[in-house]
Amino acid sequence: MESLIPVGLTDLQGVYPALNLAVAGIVILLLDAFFPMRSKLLSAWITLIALHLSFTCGLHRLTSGMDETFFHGAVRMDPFTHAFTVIICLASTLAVLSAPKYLRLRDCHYAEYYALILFSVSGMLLFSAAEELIMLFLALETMSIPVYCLVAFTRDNEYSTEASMKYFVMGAFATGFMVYGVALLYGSAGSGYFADLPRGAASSPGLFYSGMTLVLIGFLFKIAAVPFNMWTPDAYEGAPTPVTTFMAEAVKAAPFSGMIKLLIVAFGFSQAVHLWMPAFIGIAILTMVVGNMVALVQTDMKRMLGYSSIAHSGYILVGIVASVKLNSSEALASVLYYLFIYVLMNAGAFGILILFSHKNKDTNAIDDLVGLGRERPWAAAFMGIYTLSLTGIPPLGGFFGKFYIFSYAIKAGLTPLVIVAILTSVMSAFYYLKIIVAMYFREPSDPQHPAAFSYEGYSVFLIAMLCFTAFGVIYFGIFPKTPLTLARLAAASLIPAP
Amino acid sequence: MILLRYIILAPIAALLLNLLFGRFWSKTTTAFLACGAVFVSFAAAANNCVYMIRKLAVPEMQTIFDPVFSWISVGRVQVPVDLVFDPLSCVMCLIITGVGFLIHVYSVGYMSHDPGFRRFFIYLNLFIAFMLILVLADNLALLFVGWEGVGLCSYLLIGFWHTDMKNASAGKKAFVVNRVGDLGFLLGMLLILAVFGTLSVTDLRELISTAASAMTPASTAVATTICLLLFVGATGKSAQIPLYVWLPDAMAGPTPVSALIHAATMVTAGVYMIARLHFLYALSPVASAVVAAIGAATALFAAVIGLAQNDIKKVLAYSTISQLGYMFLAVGVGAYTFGIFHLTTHAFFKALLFLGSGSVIHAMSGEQDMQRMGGLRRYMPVTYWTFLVGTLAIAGIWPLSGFFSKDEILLSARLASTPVLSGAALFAIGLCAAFLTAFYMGRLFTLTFFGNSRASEETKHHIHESPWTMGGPLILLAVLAAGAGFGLRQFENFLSPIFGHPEEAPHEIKLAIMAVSLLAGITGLALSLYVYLRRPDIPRKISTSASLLCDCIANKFYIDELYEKTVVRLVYIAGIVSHAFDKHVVDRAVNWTGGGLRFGGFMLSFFQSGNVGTYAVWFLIGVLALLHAMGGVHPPPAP
Repeated sequence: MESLIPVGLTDLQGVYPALNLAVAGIVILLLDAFFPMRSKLLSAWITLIALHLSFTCGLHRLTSGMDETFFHGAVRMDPFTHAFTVIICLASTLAVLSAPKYLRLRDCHYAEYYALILFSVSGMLLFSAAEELIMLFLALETMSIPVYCLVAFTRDNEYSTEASMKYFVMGAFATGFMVYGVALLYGSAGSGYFADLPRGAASSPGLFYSGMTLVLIGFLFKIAAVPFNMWTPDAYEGAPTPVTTFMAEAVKAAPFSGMIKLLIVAFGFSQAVHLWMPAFIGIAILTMVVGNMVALVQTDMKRMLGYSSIAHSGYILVGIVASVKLNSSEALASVLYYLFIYVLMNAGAFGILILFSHKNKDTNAIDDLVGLGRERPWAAAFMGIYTLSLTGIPPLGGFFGKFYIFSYAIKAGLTPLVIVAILTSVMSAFYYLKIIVAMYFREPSDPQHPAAFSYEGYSVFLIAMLCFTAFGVIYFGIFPKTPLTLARLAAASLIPAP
Repeated sequence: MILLRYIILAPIAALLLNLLFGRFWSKTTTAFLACGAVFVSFAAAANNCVYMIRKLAVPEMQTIFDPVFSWISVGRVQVPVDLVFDPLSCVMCLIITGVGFLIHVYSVGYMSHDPGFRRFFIYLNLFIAFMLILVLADNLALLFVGWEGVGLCSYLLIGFWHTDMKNASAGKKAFVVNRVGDLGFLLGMLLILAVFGTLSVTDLRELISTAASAMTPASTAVATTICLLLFVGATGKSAQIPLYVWLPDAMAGPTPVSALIHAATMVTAGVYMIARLHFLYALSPVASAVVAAIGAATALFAAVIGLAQNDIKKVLAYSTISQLGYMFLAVGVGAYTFGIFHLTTHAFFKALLFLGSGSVIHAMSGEQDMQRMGGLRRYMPVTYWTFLVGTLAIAGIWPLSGFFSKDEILLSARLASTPVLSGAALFAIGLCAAFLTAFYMGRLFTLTFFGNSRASEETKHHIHESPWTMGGPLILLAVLAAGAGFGLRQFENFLSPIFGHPEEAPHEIKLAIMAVSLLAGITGLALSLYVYLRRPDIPRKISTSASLLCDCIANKFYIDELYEKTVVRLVYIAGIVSHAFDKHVVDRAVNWTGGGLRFGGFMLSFFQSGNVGTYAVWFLIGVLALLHAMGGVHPPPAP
């Protein structure tokens, strides 16, 4: 028996995108120890540079089509992983861009913030690369634990700490199920590698299918599918808004990567599919209906976007089910495209909230936006673009994302599911348009003293983020070719063309 | 050669800049950008025109084509955004951008004190852009975009001073009446699509030239239907009977708008459209005859109403309707070249007349009633002389441009024979209209510039000649209106690749008609001069002795009231009924659905208690349900 696991230089080079981020995080912590006064903005820059390096590395590997395994097959860097590296790094960059001013206004601009983000992202990148159950679990926890801390980052704020506590308790609860599922799977198959798992189904189906269910429950919790969604609104509302941005994008996209890989590689054989697919269809319907319906009655924007993100998980589940059923990489590519657009439009919507958040009070209620269209036409126009895209109005990206997913679902014969999806997305128009109505058409309740909108959260970072997302939502909606081509490259590595 | 899209892009760029950043810079910059952009378009169009004449000696090659992008692609229906620049669109482009530029410059002076200065120029640039899309479009669908776009701009500009209810409702009227016409246009377009499978004018032309030999009565009927439907659209946009009623009211807009949109460019879109589709109209003699008859009738009818108007702009408005009638008469009898030629000269002299009247109104502190003017000759020499040129041109006095274009139309009408009205009848109507035109223009001119001033002392004190930004365009337009007639032969040659060379008429008929039409013009002018200068008692006597007729004319034959009592009332009743249905059936259904969903959301949100224990319970329920569903409890048998 060899002594432990030998780690070679090639292995480390292979996981460069994740490693780079982890090292940057450690550097930030050290810098903060040595130069506590100057480290804040510097760490923001270091974070951005590190994310950028991983981003370009991922993009480069994606276009060059690199597909290798490392660490004895525990990590596989294939185009699918690279695509998620790109999406997650982009999402995190957007979240980091929105943070500095917000934190400074609240006197909690600490370098640890960036270190935590970096650690979490490095976990996410490994998450999408994992080909082995233990690796998967480690990556999941590396991703999650910093996020629990981040939610409580404005520690003087009781909502923030309460949210963190709830999130943590529920997260631990879900993790328990998942670890148990991992153990059962290992027990049935005698191996942790995804590719070996189907063996377990033949030898001891009882263990295997229970394990599969429990592991999937862990994922469904992370993507906030109904009924495992309860933590989402509370955590989104309580967390500092830049952290909410981070959670709604990166922390949302990463579990999808792991789940898609697991579903296709380990649970992609027909008996397993017959079991999990009906359940997933039911969950997708529940998720879309409950998410959109409860969002209707929300008055707080962050909470509303929380429910909306639950609903969007439902749409993505539809896409996943359709691509497994069709066994088509094109369909899977549409899921990736949807995630990409979702990241852009959601980041933008939260960005506007950050732009107008005051020192002592966040601008979160929909009523706070009344009159924005008249006072700050540019900001209102941007917000209009994001909300219209979230609703799915052409020619914005959100429309085409939904359009591709739904058309593949119809091709897969899931017409009833698509009907539910479209009806619920009509429902969603109601609460998204509420924002536009508030901005442009509602009169302030006290006409003598209309709300003053000061750009208290203004920073160059944030403006850059808003411009990029607004541009992206429009541009990649009208010209979806580049992201779609890349997404097809990525999807083809997971579902080879027949 | 310059790519055609840049002709359109210049005004769009200027209007976007002014719209987004206009409040950061001064009025001067706004004006400079707006005017500059139109001039850039003009220069680009002129450049292309020269290129076309010089480089492409082969007549068949005289088109420049610019495929911009594919717009709609559904099944076999393809609607690309293709721009085409042939002699016809060249003429239109030059008029739109050339006259448009002069009017832009004029507006800088005219609107200088208006608080809506920036908005005005944004609308004007938008109009120019849409108008250029209309004339450059190769595809009828794209043409329709421009068609609707100019309608929108017209609406916005008529109601420019929208705080006054009268202006706002005039804009609304224009918009609504145009919708009626647009419906016809749309139906015609869809019928073309159904019959030919394409909306591209170039393709249509080829299809029809190959199919023309195999015409059956049925296909002639189809062609007639299409042409008549399209003509309904043209009567709306170009203010012909029965849809002309909006144009006089449209004078509520600022005067440069009346000059640009409601005289020189937009209202001629109908004529342009028929000329563009002349090969289609050639298939249907009946439709062409209807066009000619309606045109002739409108020319006469509007001229009669023009006799009894006292508002200076209203007279010019009815005169525009009447002149548009001439153009339709020309295209109806197949004299497309002369129709377009009259369109061109009319653009010059009518823009000149409107701008001149604007100058007068500006000087009279907003007074528009001719009864309170008079004697302005002394105060405003530039306006006076240029206005004189315009009046002589429209009255058809040799050697001004109006004479040439009107004379050719009358000649073509005389020689034509249509299934509806004979050539002689058309000619007689046209001649009467020409006489009346000269008469009411003489009346307008006399009342405004000659005699003693009838204005109040207060107003009199303010009378002044207009600034150079207004005077300059007047002079330039006067030169064009005076001299354009001599370009007739070159114009014919230029347009011959599209319309062919018109047949040469017998010499004696030509001379006779020239003499008659000149005589009509001169008598008209002379009579009005005599009556209103020497014997002002005559009109008064006529109005008392034939008061019923005069009332009738002055009230525009009560057409507005007739429409109000019939069409509008019917539509209004239909509106009340549908409103009731909407309110009590549709709305309730929607509200109940929405209310039900909200209630559902409200109930569901109770699960979100905020208590972690509750969450865990739901989580567990979910786990159990899934375990049950996914066979963890009942594993499937091994295969």
